Amino acid sequence: MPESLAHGLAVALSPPNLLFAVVGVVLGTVVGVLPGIGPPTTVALLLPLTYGVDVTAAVIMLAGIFYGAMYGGSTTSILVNLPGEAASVVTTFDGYPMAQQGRAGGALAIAAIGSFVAGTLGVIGLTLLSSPLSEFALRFGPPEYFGLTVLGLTLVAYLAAGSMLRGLLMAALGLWLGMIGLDPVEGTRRFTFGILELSDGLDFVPVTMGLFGIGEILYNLRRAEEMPTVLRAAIDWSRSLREVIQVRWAILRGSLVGFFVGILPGGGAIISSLLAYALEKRLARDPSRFGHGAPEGVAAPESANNAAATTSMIPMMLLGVPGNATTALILAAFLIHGVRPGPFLLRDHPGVFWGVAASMYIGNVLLLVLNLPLVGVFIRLLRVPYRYLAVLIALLAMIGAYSANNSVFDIWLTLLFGGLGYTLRVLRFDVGPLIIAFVLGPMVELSLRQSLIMSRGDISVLFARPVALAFLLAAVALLLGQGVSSGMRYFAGPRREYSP
Amino acid sequence: MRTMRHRLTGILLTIIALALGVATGPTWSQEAYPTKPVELVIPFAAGGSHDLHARVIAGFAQQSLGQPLVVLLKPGGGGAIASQFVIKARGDGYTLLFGSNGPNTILPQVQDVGYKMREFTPVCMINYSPPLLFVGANAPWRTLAEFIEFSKANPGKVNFAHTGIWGAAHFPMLIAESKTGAKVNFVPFDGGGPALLAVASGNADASFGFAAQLLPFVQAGRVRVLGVAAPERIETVRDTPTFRELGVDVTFTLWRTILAPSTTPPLRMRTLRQACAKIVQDPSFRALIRQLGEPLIYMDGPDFLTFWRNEWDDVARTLATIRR
Amino acid sequence: MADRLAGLAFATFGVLVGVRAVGLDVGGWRTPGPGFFPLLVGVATSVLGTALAFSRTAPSLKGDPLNTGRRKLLGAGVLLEGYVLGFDRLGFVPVTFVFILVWLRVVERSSWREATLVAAAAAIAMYAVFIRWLAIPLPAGILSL
Repeated sequence: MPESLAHGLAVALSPPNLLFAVVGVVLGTVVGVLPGIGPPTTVALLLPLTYGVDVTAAVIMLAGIFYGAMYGGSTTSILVNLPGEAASVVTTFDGYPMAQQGRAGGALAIAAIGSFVAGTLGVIGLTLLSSPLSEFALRFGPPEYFGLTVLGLTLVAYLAAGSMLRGLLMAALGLWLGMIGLDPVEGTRRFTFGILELSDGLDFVPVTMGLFGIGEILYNLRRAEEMPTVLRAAIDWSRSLREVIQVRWAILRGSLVGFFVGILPGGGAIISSLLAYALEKRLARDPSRFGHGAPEGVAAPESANNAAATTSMIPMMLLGVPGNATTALILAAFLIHGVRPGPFLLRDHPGVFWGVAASMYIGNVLLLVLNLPLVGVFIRLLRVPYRYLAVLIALLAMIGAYSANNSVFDIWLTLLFGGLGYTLRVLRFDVGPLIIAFVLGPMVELSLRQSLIMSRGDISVLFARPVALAFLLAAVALLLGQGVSSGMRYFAGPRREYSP
Repeated sequence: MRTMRHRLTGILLTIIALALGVATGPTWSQEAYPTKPVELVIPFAAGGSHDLHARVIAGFAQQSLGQPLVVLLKPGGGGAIASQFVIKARGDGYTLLFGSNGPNTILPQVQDVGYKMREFTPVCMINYSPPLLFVGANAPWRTLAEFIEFSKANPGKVNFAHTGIWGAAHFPMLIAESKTGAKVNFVPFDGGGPALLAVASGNADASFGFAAQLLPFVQAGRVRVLGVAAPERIETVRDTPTFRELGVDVTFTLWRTILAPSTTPPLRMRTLRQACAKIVQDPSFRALIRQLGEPLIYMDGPDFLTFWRNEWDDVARTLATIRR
Repeated sequence: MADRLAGLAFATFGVLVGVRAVGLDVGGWRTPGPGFFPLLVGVATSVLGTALAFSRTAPSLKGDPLNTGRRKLLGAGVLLEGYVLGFDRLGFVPVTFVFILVWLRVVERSSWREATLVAAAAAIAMYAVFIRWLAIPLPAGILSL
């Protein structure tokens, strides 16, 4: 296997493949920075261009776009509270407050370095553990998914930066939004108001572009004072590097979470970043720092989503089953070139597999080299007066929403959620729990109903298997713990004012 | 007096002739078609088999048609969004639908989507993919007959993974149920991939899937194929018997047909049909389709129309039986 | 006060959802139907909304007084709507240009010169990046760009 890796490195370093890697990661960074336009759209658009190219080169480039976007996606999340990539939503929770406190450079550095460590760990896992990992992915059935997603939902209680009541209300709203569309089991339409476009449910992109992008801009229009522009002209590297070392455990834990959750089809970057964030908050000595600029709050999700992106290539390559939209398209690229990923990829096309794996090592190095200097560039971009940024962000949000499905309806949705985002901000609600519930809710429902249908109504199926049971126990423990500490807070002292 | 009447008649006749000429005038300008790119609208998401086939076709279209074929993805609503989009566009031959049985045969009969068969006229069918019934490697059934017998004797005991109501893993099993009296327990999954994994890992007992994705798992010994729901054997899975051969009349053809709005002028339809016939004969085209793991089953417009009508009626009958 | 209204709104919303849920066939505990989860969510929302309406801990409003900008907000809202309406028919590039121009002029009160320059520069840049480089299918509209 070390020989295979060496062979793979040779393949990856050959000039044409190296060039494609560079193109891929650069493009991925750009796409990641641009809000709303994500890897799936870009990979889909570039797919035809790869026809005449060798399959390894094509996949190297497309994969580069994929994990490159995870690097770039944190940039707008941190600088302007607009997730550049679906998975970067969680980075806004602490990344944007850090930027508002003048620590944007530190946040960006943490994101870049955390992503590098996570990506590297992910590639190591890919090369050493891909077969056992794909078996692990195979065994994950509805009861396990249920346990995992329930655990994720219970962590919502930790994520509200302010009062728990408001957090739960947002989660409830998010759950409802996730139910719009067709019922997963019977196919009946729920809350679609007769609109055909809603029968597939709300797409993540218009919702986030609206709530975060348009909502934030509309809210800022109401402020009396001019928005603060650049907070620091140059990045204080020594301080930032110290901060990175400070959060090294968050990076490691985030990478691990992303590593395992990323393998699960349907798991992926968003859930990993949510889980990693919540885990850090739970483990922190002073959880109240989270939501207000805790560097761990940036390190954890950024590491998680990059590790997840890397390991999500495994089920696609070794099982032929893609876990997310982008790997589905990379799979298509394989198919067009006559290579069928799946159980025989390693046997029939080892050069392709190892070449791609090795190129991901190289890609991560390239991205680190690319992104660290870019931190300074982006900080300087913040010098642009907010009023120009605002209109640009509004535009990018709308274009991003349109480009997902070539649908004007999606732009209308974005505006609608923009209005909602504005209203929620005015009422001092935090949107974080809403997004989490929106993503996890449908998975909880589907996996629960699948499990009960499989067992024909026998609830014990949810606890029978060890992994599923473990997740549920963890969720219960967390709920109890939170309940106890909230209860103590409630009864212990006089009513206090929560400051958001 | 007579000359006046003659003259009036003459004038009238001239006017009528001119009017007729104007009315049929547009057919003259049809000779210059196409003069700009033609749009092919796909009712499914990017990366799927329709998308891949469309891109292959687009690669060859320009030689045959003279203008590029632009692929436009408009997923959603089970294919209704794309279908409605094409109908609403001008029927001038520049907007076509790459349709399938899901959006265009089944969906209009289970939901009010604003169209049925008559809004579309087929240009040509590129191919179809029939689903294969597969079970886990450890499953006790080695033949279709055993599977059906078991499902009849133990109604609701077999956990059957499906990928969407009325979809390719659901509808053919519904047909099988209605024709054999078998009954399975349908478990919903999020797509072909998760369903395949579920059966391979034992989380589900059986499902329908497509050859391209299934074959590696079959070769690796993780799943076993019991039959293919096609009218006749398919070249990509030559050794798999059809349901019909095994005595159960179940077919489900996920066809890929270029459909034009019915208002498209006949001369333009002819141009399109000729171009299509040319494309499918190109050896490089055929090689690319084979590379995708898909069969080459071409049908021209009129033949497909007959096929489609029969399919429509079959589906109507099945639905009537189920709903009883 | 705002919280009381918000709480009431949530409570009402929860009731509406719950009612709709019951109509959707709730099913049973062991066989949840389409209405099961909506019902739970509806009930939870009503309860939480009521709690909010009666809660006495209000978040402090230090930091961001919203006392101006209503006109800006209205202008922005109208412009956004206009953008979507014109998007398909008039095309991406023209609508983008007009949007930026009017926004800067009306919402941000820039000078005509500044607004026009920025709008033109941005429209050209977006054309270059989105249409030429990334080749995203955006409506061509009247200028066929």
